[in-house]
Amino acid sequence: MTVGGKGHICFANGEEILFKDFFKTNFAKFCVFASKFISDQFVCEDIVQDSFLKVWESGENMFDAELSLVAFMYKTIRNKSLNHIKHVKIEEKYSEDFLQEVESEEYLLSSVVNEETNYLLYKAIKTLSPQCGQVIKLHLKGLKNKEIAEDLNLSVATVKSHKMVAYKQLREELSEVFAVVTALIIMDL
Amino acid sequence: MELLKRHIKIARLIFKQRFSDLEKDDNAQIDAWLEEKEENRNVYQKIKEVEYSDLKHRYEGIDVDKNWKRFESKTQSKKIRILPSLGIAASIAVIFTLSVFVYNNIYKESELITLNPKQSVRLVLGSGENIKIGDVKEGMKLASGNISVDSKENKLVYSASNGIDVIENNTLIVPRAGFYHLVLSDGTKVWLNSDTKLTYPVSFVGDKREVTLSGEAYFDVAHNKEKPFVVRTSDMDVRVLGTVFNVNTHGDNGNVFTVLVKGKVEVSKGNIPKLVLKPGQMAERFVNGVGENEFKLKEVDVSQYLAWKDGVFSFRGTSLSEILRKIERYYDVKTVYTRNIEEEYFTGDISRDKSLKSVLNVLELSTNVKFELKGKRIYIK
Repeated sequence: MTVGGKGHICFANGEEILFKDFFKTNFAKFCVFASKFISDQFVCEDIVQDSFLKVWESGENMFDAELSLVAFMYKTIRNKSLNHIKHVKIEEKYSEDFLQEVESEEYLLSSVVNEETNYLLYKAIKTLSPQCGQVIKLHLKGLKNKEIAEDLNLSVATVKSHKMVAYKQLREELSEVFAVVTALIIMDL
Repeated sequence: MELLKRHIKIARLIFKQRFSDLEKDDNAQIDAWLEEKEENRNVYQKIKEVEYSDLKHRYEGIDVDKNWKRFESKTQSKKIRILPSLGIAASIAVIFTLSVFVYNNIYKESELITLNPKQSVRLVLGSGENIKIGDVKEGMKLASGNISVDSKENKLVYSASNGIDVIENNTLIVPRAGFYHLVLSDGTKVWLNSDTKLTYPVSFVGDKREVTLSGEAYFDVAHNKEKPFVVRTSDMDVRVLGTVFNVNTHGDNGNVFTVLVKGKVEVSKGNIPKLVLKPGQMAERFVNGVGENEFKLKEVDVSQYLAWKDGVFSFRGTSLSEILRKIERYYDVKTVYTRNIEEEYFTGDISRDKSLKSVLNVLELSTNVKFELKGKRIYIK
């Protein structure tokens, strides 16, 4: 990955994204991730900004794909967060237990899974129209088409078509996640 | 990092799984991950139970646009581009017209030269062979050393040879609108601006390190007390021990100069009294008659003279004609005056990343002059 002119990030695998897009898409997610270590929101925002800046100024680093870049961001934010905690440890009187926990690799990995998934879920629903959003929210709760239809006072056919629209939108929005088209989603499985 | 990447992948699979059925293989990946640790199963369960409204609350408390603006200003703090029309003007792009004299320079249409298409940086080897920089191969065989090329960084690196005493010179030619970075075999780093030529030995043999320069270059000289480094130019020789400085022989302002950033240098030429520079000082020699036989010492703000290396045009009370000469060289264009203009002076910084059009726009907004860009010619109206 190199940060080229006009703010493009070019990966070794040939993909290319605008730094601005990468920033805007992921900023909130990374802040919430940072908040798993630090309670002050402003400090979190600072840390995430600094981490983006590190990427911006790296220029020479080679990442093969978006995945590597995201991993790098998580790692950097976590390290900066731990540094911050260690610095203010004395004033804030963080307990030793807390420190041990947040320093562990376990904590990092489960936080990453948590935040990465949650943010995708949030984005998925946020971009949908209110009707589609409602259908999907219920689907995520585990309801079958028939149950969703009853709940929302719609026909099953309408529920299915809302789902179709939703998934089409999602595939476009989250192309890095949806590589394969599946028609199975519309049916109850 | 691999473990981390795997977990990000798992997260994305879980997301997909929540919406649809996954391919057998993907499901198997999640199952395998769940098997590994109880912690993993806990996370999985938590995700299943999350409420959208909680998520919404968490993420929407963050003002992304505001943060982006903050971030942008951090990345641009080194490159100041001010368009007076934005109203930020005053402190950075200030014009004060001192119509000292009328600048008279009218070109006839017939004298216009059609300029060459963009030329590439060239390297002349010891054998006399003149090749394009793109044709320099990794680990190329030279009589007394090795070269490696980093084409993404526009950089050429020479590595020291082992005990070979042959003196072989190479010349790097950077054309107009060019820029190049060179690392000599002793580790000295050189940045070459547009329209510059540097001749240097592949390997430094003997008790001196000597290079010859025509144009503008910024040197970060590797320290070596035993072998002083000397930059020879037609009007000024600069002798250094281990230091950082900028030499400009373009004569844009009728002068040739050296600006010292760090260390100590001595400038000399023929019978002209030598001058020793300290950091923050400039040695200047006027080459157009008056004051030609001396080096003048000046205290300067070095950043203005080094800005080009960081991709910025930096002007401090610089005349329009001098600015245009720099622009001509960097963008490889020619200025045509269709009328007499009064000399004007500028103070400001413009990022060299900008297109020529944008740069001319900035100048236009600060001045009475209008530019029209046609191909490779700038017409002054």
